[in-house]
Amino acid sequence: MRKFAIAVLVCALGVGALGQVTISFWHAMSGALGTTLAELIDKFHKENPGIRVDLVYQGGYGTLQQKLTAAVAAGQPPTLAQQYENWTTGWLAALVDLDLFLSEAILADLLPQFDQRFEGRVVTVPFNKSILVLYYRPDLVPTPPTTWAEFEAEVARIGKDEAKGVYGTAFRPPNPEIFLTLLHQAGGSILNEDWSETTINNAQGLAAAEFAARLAQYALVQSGYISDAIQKGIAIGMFIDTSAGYTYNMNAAKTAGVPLSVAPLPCNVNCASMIQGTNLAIFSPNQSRAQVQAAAKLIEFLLREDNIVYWAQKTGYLPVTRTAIYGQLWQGYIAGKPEQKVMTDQLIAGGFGQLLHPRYMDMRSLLITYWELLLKGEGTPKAILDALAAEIEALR
Amino acid sequence: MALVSGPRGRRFWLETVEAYVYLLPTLAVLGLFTFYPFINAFLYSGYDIRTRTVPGAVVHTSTEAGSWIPLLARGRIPEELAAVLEGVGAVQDKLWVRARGANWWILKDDASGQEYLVVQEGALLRVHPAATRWALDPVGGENFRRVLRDPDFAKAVRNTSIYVGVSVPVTLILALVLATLLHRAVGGKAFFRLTSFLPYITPVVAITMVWAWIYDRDYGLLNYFLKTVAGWLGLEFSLINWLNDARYVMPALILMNIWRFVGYQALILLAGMQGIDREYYEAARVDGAGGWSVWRKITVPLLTPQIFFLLIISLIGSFKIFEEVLILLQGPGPEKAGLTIVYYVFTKAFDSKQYGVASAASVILFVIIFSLSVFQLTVVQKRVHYER
Repeated sequence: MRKFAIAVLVCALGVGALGQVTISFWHAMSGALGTTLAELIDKFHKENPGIRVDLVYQGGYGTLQQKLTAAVAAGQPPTLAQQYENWTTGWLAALVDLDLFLSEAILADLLPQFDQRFEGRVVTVPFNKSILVLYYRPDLVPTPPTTWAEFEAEVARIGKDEAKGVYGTAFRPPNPEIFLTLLHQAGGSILNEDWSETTINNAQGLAAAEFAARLAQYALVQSGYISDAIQKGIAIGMFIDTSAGYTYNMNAAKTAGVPLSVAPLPCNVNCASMIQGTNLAIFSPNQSRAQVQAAAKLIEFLLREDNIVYWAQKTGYLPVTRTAIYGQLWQGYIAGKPEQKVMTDQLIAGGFGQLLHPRYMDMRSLLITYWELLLKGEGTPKAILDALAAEIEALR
Repeated sequence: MALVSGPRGRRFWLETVEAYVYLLPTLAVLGLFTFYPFINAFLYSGYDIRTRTVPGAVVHTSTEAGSWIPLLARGRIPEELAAVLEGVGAVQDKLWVRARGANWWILKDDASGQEYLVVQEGALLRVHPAATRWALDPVGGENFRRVLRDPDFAKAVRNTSIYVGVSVPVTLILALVLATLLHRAVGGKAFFRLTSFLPYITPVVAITMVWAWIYDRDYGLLNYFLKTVAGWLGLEFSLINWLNDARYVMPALILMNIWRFVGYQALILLAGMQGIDREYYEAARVDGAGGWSVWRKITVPLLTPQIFFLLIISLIGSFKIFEEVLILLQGPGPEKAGLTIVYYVFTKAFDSKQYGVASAASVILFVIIFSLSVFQLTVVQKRVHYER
């Protein structure tokens, strides 16, 4: 009798395993972020007993990128992985068209800010997204600025006193996303719509560069994180930083014993702000249709309102669908949290992502070089922009 | 004659085979992780490498564009196409559409993993077997031209040259001084030998993270030390932003690496000093030579084999500086003042995904190191005195 029971059990397990699809999901979410992701995957397992997700933490973004690069080259990528746009352009040919596997309703529900097409194809959906906002010291800046003119006036009023460690604002040369945000707010862009022309040094580009150069006179310019400077007791009136840095910046301010708050970015021609963070994409090599369908099911699960809101609440990332961001769950949550509301409104007010050009990473490297020259006042904004445009033109 | 050489020959071959069996694990590891990448770096430098779908020969041409395209666009497979693909080995119910562009569609067969590409050309649709993989397209010397024209590469060569030009001779001279002192020291020799060797055996990551704090502008030990000394001397001292000021990045890297390698080099030199025959010193003393001239005319010349060895090893090692930049500066540093050649190769491969360009840069680095090594082996070695 016992033997018979065991045989039945083994058969049942075998049949269960046969019907099960296993997919791999590579990510770079450490600490609390990783725990929250694992919780969501557990929930997905309960709802979908036929699918097994191998959630693999691959280390930081740099490591994940290297491992994905090697895995794609070897023809053995995971089913699903987090990735930045400029990684995606490198292995676009190996990705599955998501609009063949996700329902139209889900794709239509994504905020228009996240409507990204790679050579006309829909291969990614947004996942952990943050946006640039203005951090300010309420004791130094009683009313946060709403326009460029106000921003400049406030920064100049606080001024710069290196001996006392007081600065109107702060910029990081390795972070040219701030310049790209100013560029977009001035109505400019790196290239024109069809990439046939370099436009970064046109009148709009120059307006952004001159504005940044004027602010830089009163700025702390350093490569390290701004939170590190705050922690050391350096006083910075206002600075532009990602909403994902909220916890770090707040903890630094707490350690230094100073107040810090968040406001929407001051605007110029528009209020655009650069979106940061990764997307999800499904790889084709070494994957069957059943695995791709299972991964698509996981994406649909992660984009469901309750799960997006849970993810956003636990991690500080922003909701990416209309249903989630305007829905009761999220709006109710941020009603009592003015700073989260600011970040949400910033995303709704307008966000833009990376340029989806295959040579964007090289362009970004050039941007870092020239952004640093601009911040350090080494040359006129016009000369710097013209030199940058000439180098970008060579890449285009 | 044959009687003698027969068994000898067999024994010789047996011993040779046995020796190679012992060598096999080492050769396998070297082959896999050194020679194979080395050869590939040369190969890749002549290609543009990217992941793309490479089509094979056309297996079918159809005029059914009007009926096929609407189906393919929705991810469905036309019956006629399925039949065609079955004819070339595909399994019908395992076929699915995985990607599509303006005038192309990629199908995949789960039974074999084989892909098929359908391309529209006017009214015709051509069907090819296809593979999505790393594709190598020859570009001749284009990758080298790109590297040599890149201002970042020029900067990397300049930075690396400064680093090598300063750190190699300074480390060696300090090591020579340290070895001489250790050689003379009467007590505590073992203690100093151990402590001077510790930086060399400590992992570079750990060392670099500690030095990142030493170099901190506000809380760093180095600035604290300099400030204290300046205070004693009654001098003004403004805090140096070692890792965020382009002027100090290279000195910071050099200083850290001198500290790291000086003990190791001193130990090698010390071993060399201890191996010098005492008779030379006794003869010199009889001739009335003083300490300085004994050191200069006997110790240093007889140490040249060790000095030469260290020169080659440290020159090659210094040209390859990378981890220190990655960890200490977490990037190329302010104004790319810490951009070295290997860091350049790393960013071209893993950030820009230009594997061919990265390979070309690494080949150029190889040529630089190789030429310098040849120069050392031919010209410098003539000045090396081997004790007979």
